[in-house]
Amino acid sequence: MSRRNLTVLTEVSLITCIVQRGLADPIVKAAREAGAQGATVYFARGTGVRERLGVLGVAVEVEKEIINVVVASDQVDYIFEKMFLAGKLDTPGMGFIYCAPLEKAATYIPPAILEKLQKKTTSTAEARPTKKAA
Amino acid sequence: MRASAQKCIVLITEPGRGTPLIEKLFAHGLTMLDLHHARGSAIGGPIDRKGVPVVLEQEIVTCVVAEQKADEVFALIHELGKVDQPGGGFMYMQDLARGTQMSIG
Repeated sequence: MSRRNLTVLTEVSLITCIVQRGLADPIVKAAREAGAQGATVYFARGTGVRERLGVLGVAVEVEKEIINVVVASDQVDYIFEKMFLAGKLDTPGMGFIYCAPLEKAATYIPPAILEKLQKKTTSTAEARPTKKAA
Repeated sequence: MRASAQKCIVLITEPGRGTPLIEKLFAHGLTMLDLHHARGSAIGGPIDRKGVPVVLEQEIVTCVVAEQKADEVFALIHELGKVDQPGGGFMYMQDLARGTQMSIG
């Protein structure tokens, strides 16, 4: 049996944004420009504020696009804000956005980056002062 | 972080990989599985002339597991989905506030 290493990423968050069909691309673009490395978009059907808007509700598309973006926790506020503004989510019926912390994530990490990370971890451990017995 | 009895594991992978993976996971006794399609781009994916990542079809496999088995299933999906290889996709695990667990037999 071969041994395999599982390198996981921590301190990551998932931003989910639900908008009307056809409006996802500018939000994905804004997320990417703000530092997100990737995004996934899929279709759904939604209800909610459309029914509450009365006659004005006809202007709101029933079909939705859901955007998922995984980002580092230290970038999440900035990317969240950029996505919110790009999607004009302060307008009723435009959609909504939320973020949730992830426990861990995994993907392909090029060997060169892994090596660099291992070196950094080793040097940090060596530099850490050790407690001496009194 | 608050811990609950269920975890949700999500794998975003290339088209055609989802169904065989679900069959393998089912054979391992996992029943709370779902597959859907999406479009998306990721790190290391193809880029167009302007340097913008090309958006391609993706398959998303979602699996809900008990907390005790979550790390084991995460490693299993990582292995079966070949996530540690280029083009293997991206996976993550999320804590759930509540969830159901179905078992047969």
